Amino acid sequence: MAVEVQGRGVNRRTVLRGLLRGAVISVGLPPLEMFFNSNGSAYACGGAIPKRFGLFYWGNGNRPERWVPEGEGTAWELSEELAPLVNVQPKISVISGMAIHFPNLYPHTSGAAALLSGMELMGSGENITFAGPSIDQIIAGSIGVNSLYRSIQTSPTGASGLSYNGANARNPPEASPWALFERLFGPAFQLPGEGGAVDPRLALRQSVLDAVLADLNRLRAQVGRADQLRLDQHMEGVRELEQRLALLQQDPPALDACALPAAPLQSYPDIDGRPQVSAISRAQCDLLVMAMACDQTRVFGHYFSDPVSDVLYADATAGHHDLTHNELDPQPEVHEITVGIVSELAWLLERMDAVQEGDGTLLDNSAVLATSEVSLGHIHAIDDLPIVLAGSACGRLQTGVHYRSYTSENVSKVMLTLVRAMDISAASFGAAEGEVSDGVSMVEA
Amino acid sequence: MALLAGLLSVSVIGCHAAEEPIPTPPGPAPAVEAPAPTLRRLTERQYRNSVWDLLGIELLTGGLEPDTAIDGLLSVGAAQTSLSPLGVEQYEAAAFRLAEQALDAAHRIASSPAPRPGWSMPPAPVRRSTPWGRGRGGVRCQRRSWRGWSR
Repeated sequence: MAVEVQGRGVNRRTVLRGLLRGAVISVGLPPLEMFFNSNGSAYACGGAIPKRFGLFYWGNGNRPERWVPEGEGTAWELSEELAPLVNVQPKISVISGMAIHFPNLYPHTSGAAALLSGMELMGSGENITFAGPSIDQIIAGSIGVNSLYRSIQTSPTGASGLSYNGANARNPPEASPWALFERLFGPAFQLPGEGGAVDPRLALRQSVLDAVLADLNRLRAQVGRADQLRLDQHMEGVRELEQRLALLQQDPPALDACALPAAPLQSYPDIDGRPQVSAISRAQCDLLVMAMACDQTRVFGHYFSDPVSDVLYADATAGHHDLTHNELDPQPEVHEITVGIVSELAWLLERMDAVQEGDGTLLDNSAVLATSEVSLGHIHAIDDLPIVLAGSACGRLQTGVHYRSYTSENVSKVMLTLVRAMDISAASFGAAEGEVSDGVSMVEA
Repeated sequence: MALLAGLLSVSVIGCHAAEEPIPTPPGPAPAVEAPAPTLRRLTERQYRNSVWDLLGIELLTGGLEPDTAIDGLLSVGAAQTSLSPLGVEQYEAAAFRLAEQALDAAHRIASSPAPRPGWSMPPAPVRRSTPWGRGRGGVRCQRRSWRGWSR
């Protein structure tokens, strides 16, 4: 796949840094035209306000007959399973009928790899991995590089997640809301304009990382090609940390909506042997939303559950995966679980939509993909996959439409549309049976 | 500072069995192709044990990147996976916490042995860049690499 970053552009932080470095400025900073939209009324997305990408993933699919909306184009109604999205319906698009074109050799995992990376699952038996980066990391490689964290992964069910930097290089999600809070809003966090003293330990940390990088480089010269790639991924992480330390020594970006969020609980113990999935998911989503409002990250993955997840949800008589195979048709419990998962998606989207940025909201300035690796879990169906897109990515995505494919089009088309909506010029997405060079034109604006 | 660098690099030795004949097990040899030598990440347990051997302390709080089992084996995973950016962050945080724990006054006193009768300062050891150099258990080890990687 050919990906090329289209000019990183000038953001407000860059301008401030450039204007203020080494000079005393006694006049007010003139607003720059590029930060205004065509009405001249507010800061424009893509200038001072960054674009964001999010993935909301769950395992085990849906009940397609209760998921696919009635009606197409702009005249459609939310289905039973999409009903929780009622408050954000004008800001979402639903895509149905898309399919995975690779063979489904490993039910659930083949689909997940094909869906999110456009490539066939690599390896065999228990030795399997995505063959290349997943969509969130492809996008993070472009839009995530100027924020404190290139991307953040969370999971309320302790999922392993499906974020890959490359083969065998997975980004594990954070399961604990408290640990996420400490990481994002701990002692190093500064509110815009707070202007506290710079932590003197940052310089020390940087010099230690320099030494680590120098050593990794020496080691790199002595090993074979495959190990070099693994060390490169390790070094990428070290460089990311170094860049974060450098950014922490600058003033944070001046974003009005940024505030220190309330701390979550330190632990969420199981109730009657059932995890508090909803409470954990909401705590994590609230932190993710504020992390984006403060421009700590521009890319997130919320792995609500893994493929084959067997979480015992509240009110369910068995684990989720178990139910998808063993509950009798029409599987009312599977349906209820799906509705519950979509309700958590709605929580996230409504929270994003409550953050005002310029004359839009955080949701308007984002693209969120919600999807699963199968549709009907009972037969591991990899056609008619559940796909919801939310947010317009600063006007690059058409919202409020339902696009239904009657020809089982390749699901990679959705990924290509998303990559392009993030202003990444890509000729194609995926490889082999997963490769496409066209997006889904109905949702492209 | 030196301690920090040492912790970050908890280092590691590449071990290769000495060139002694390996006893052949009875029965037909299993059809296994020897894989090419490869770098191995320390597993979480190996990292914690190394810290214990080095400093005599346990990493008390905070997570480390989980190991990946491949073909059901963590050591196979350690030979094929890399470290994620979050993993790097976690090891950095762990190194700072360990340094604080190690330099804590209570720990320093508790871990200082009482001098034996007739004890005198031994000659300064030859400085090595890592605390490792010789393996245990009849396996000759050679220092190869740093930073949580071993061959």
